[in-house]
Amino acid sequence: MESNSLATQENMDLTLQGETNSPAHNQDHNPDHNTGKTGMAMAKDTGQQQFITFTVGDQEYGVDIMSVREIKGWVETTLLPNTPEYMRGVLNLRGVIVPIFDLRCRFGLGKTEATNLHVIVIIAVKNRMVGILVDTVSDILTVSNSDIRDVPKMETLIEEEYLSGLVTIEERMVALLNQERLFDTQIIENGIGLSQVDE
Amino acid sequence: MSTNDFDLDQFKATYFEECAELLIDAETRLADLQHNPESVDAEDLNAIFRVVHSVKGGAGAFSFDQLVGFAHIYEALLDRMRQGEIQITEEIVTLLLTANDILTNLIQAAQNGTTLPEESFTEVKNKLNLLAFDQPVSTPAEEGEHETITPDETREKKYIISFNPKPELLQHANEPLLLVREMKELGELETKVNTDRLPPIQKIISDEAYFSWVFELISDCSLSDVEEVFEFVTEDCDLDIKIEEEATEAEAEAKQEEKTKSQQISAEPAEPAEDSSEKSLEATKQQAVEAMQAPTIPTPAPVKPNPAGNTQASQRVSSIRVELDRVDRLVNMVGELVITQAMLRQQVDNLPSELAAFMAKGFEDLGMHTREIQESVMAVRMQPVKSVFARIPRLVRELATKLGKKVELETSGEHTEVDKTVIEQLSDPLTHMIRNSLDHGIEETPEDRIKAGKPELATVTLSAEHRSGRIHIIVTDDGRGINRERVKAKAIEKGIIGPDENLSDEAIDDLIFSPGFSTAEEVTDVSGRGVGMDVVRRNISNLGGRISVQSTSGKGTKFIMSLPLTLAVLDGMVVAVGKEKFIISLTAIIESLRPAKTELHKLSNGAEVVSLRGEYIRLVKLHRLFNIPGAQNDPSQALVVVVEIEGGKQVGILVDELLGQQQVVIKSLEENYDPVEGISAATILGNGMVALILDVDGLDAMARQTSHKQNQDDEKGETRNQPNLITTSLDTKKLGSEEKLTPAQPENTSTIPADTASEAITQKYEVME
Repeated sequence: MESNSLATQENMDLTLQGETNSPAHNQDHNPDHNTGKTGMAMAKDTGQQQFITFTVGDQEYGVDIMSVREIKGWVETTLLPNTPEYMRGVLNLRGVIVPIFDLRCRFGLGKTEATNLHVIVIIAVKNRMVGILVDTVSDILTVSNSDIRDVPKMETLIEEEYLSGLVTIEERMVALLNQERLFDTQIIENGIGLSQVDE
Repeated sequence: MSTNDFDLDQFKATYFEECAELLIDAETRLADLQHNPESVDAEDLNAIFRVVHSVKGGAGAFSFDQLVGFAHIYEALLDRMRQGEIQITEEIVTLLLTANDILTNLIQAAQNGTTLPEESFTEVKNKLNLLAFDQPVSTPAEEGEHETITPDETREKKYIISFNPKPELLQHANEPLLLVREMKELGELETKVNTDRLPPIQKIISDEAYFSWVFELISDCSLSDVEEVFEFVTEDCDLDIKIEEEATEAEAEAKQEEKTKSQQISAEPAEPAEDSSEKSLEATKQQAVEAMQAPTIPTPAPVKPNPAGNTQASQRVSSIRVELDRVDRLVNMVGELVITQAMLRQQVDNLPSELAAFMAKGFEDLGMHTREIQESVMAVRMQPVKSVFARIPRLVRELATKLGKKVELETSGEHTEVDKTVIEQLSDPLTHMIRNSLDHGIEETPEDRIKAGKPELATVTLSAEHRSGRIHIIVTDDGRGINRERVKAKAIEKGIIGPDENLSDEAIDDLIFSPGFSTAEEVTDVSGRGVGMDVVRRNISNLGGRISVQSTSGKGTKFIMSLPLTLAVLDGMVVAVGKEKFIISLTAIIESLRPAKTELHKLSNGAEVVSLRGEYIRLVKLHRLFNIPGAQNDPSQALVVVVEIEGGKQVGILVDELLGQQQVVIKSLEENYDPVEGISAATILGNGMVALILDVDGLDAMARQTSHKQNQDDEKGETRNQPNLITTSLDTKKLGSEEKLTPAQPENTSTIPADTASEAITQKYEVME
């Protein structure tokens, strides 16, 4: 449970790949494939998981590395009419139309004024691909399952519902996203559900 | 070699897929037969025979006994027909058609893992039997067990057939046992097995053929019949067929007595003869049986058990079966290629002039090639409408019987090709149209027709043709035509039109497409299932098509369905609203205009209309519905695109400008996101940006919901006015930030000279190309 420098190196490579639109990333849309891999990786690493972390403002968030398909710089999107504010439109990812969500806005912290320095992390959620707009991508974390803490009861209901856990790295706290709930439009439409997050 | 290791399901799926194709072929050919029974094409009969034969063969492999049993009798009849032993009469053709329907049902049943109740087709089976074997069977026939040799007037011959399989025979998924069975159907058979080549048990390779046979066949069939048995295996065996002598009738009778014995032998041809060494007999038997059974399951052998019909095999048909997924991927990538190329092309203009000229030439070629690739790829997905049309004869037959009408179906243009996506969507509306024609179009009884001075036999014509980049599918009947009085009365009764509205004939005819309209006095189970022609129109318009009707009272009705050739590509008009770009399907667009102030009116309910040649067309303000800032709100300064929506109505969509016409590749928005109201799909423009394709029907619905709200907004005063149209189109990004700062301006202060505007349009047009 520590952030190592090697991981940061990997992270940079990944970002580069994302920006150069390496086709290798594109081939692997299959979410089943992904879950299969995750399961295997978890079993092999005796309960360890890897997360890509990124920042939004001062807060650091993490998503399961196996769900990340690509990381790319912010590009102008096409707005979809009459969609929530955090829905930042769609972009063309090599022929596939991918919706982009503003994570800051999703957490009710206002719309991100996106610049070329902002980053879109393309992740697979169930059988869909979505992009999340974040400030920067920071790290790759390897975390033992036992170090993942439950999300304490918080005043903002959103955070509690859409986080799957918390990890402390040195001084920093990383909030692990439950992307399935975060971008499940069914849940968004029906309001926040009460069922407990599993995983 | 265990046969259970294979996943049979996947082979079954292939088998049923092939059955579907085969049946379409048979159905088409039977329809030909039905139309000209006098000039029968031997090739047609042969082809149908092969279809049934292939169906039977596969069914045998999967042990669909019921299907095998029926196919066998059907096949036997067809066989006699192609020998010319049975005259083709109308009656026979009808029987064949029925038999084909039953075969289809049986295949379906097998596919669903069920069987049909025997009694449901016993009658047909008996009829077939009577013709095929000159005698009916009372019990359900079992494969190969029921034939009785009837020494008839044709003279019997004795064939000596030596059959010496090469080792590859079994590997190529052929099965000697089936050959033997087939020969048994031809006549009396005596079988001798030569087991000389059988190696010791340790050396046996289970999928090699070790036996050879000598058959003595006494039959009245021709040499070609015998040869045909071995048709699939000729390349894998040494075959020698000799005609020994002509058996006299007495001999034949004598043979008849021996029949029981010979059949016993022939029933188990796989069994090695008694001279096999006693020691290994049991094991050898086992091996032999296995060796013979294993390949009956189509293993992933290099050669498929050729279901496509034997002549096709010899003709080397140059077609392959490809997963649609792969083609889709190709289509997708070619779309990307076109976009990338367009993007590069735009950059060329920024190069120094001498380089630009050189590059431009290269790009011209590249553009041509990419277009050609795109067309070729799209052509891969094109299929003849035959596959849909082929289901129609059966439908007509069944309906005609049910309704007690005499109807003949004529089809033409079944080779017209259309994209697979359209084919898939075509079946339902077409079925409905045919049902409608039979149920409502054609007179109630044949007598009614005679009274009206028409032939007893009604004709329904189904045709397809390409017309200006679209496919037209036309269903015509020579029935009584639309009863306009009744349609009108009904429409008034249902409140679709007012009691004293004066409608043209065409308008009345068009009423049959109105929701909730059905003229059938009572709900029939044929076409009155609560779904009317309105559903057909809606489905067709969802496909980007249109349907119209033409009718002459007493003469008949004609439905014309016009569909795009593909659902993957759309001819669209790119329009700009604020800094957003949208695509409107060209097929929906009727015209576009910039209305004069005097032509604009506001109704008391808040809806704005524009008067166009005496008609009032409701305006749909796109920027309002989509909350797009910076768009032109004054229609006299903007453009109104008049589109046709569901039900043939027209609405005017307010846009800032037209940017040009473009063929776009349709991309699903729902793949990764949810449906968005007013948007049907998305596409990617030449600059790599996503553009949304408008759903004009959805927009109309949205406009109606919000028209009240709109009214209120208007009273508060106009705040969103786009001051400079030209800047918007040339530097969208810059303006994007600027326009937020632009103070609200009073309406109509900015006027753009018409020539400047058109210049902008021309410029954009070039960019789009």
